[in-house]
Amino acid sequence: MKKGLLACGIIAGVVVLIGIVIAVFFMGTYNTLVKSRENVDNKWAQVENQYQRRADLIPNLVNTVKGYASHEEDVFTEVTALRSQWGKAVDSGDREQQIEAANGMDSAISRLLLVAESYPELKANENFLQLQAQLEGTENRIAVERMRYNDEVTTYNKKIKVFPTNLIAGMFGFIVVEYFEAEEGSDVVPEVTFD
Amino acid sequence: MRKTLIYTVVLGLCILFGGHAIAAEPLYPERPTGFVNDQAGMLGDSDDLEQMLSDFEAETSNELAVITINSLEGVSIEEYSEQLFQKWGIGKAEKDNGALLVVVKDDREMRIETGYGLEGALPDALADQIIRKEITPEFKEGRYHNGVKMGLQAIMAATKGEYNPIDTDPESESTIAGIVGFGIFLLVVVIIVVSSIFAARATRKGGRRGGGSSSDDSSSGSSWTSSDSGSSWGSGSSSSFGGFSGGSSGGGGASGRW
Repeated sequence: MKKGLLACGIIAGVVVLIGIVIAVFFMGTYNTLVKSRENVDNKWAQVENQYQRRADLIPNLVNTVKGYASHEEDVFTEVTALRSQWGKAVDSGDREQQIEAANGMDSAISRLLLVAESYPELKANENFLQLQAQLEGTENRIAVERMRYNDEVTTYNKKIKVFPTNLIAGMFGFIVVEYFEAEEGSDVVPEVTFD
Repeated sequence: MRKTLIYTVVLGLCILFGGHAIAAEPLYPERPTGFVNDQAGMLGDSDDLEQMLSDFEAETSNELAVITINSLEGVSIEEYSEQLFQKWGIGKAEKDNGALLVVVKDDREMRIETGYGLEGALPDALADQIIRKEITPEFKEGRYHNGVKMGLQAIMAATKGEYNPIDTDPESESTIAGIVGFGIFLLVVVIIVVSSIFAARATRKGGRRGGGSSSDDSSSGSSWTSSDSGSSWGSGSSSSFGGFSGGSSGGGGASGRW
């Protein structure tokens, strides 16, 4: 009689223990995923920051270049337009849209700087030199933050794809995050024709 | 025949171990030898610079580092500076108040890499000015020691007393540890309960088994102090350099050529 009761007790205890272990696993994994996703969002915010910083440099840049190359209307209009496109993308909060706008700003600024190349007086202007330094600094920061963002995305994506974490990820709606990739052909400097 | 064998073995050993001696300085040195790391030998006697930066650190907690190298070996100076900065962790961890001056001899390039915490006091435009106006003129005349000195003094002036503490949230793994600990605790409790039930039934032997684990883990004799005694090039400095404090950079700063 006693033996049977003891056996039941032990089995019950083991079952309870297993239940606790599974619950702990669930909790732990879910929390890890939440933290990982927060890290990704945090890194994205950094990338956004740096792009914003660059967008803020644009008005000053345009004004300085205008002082020496006032007739180059096209590049000015273009870069200003792409800057507002960036602003809209930030407001919308759509990450893909933001990436697209950021890449657009990339090319527009390159074109503007290329135009500036042909004005030696502009290139010697102290204000312009400072702006260039700021732009280069920002470009570098953007590169660094994008790299760190992509690293964080890799960590997160790995977590939600690996078994058995992927089960819990699926249950609670943790989806794969896109990498921040350079736009096709953004490394090619466009030809500027003076006609 | 025998002689040939011996010669081959000796030669082999020489190549094996001799190669190590011939090996050049690594591009990213594992640890800094001081605030000043004159790998390219451009600065001559740099004790004064070392002292200056050491005093600066004691006074303001800002960590300024200098490294001269011969060649970037194909890496861009921006990438090199950022990687080295992160590797050495220049600046205090909570404040990120570090800056790194990189001078490349063969490529005639230099860069000031700014930590997150110094970006307010030393913005990119200012770093660029320091490079153009303080350092480059001296470097063009071949006065490397003086150029570095003036650059560092300008940086110190810009940052003196001005640091923005950045509160980096330490990754708290404590929650997971807590859960795991709790689980183990439960397991132990269950084991104790179960075994005590069995022990209560087995009233035959009253005494306990011989005392528990008698393994005394005395700490190993070899105390592994991390002093850089190996790399102090007889510079006369009594204290070996302990390294930097884990600060971080976001890629801010400026580059230049001379």
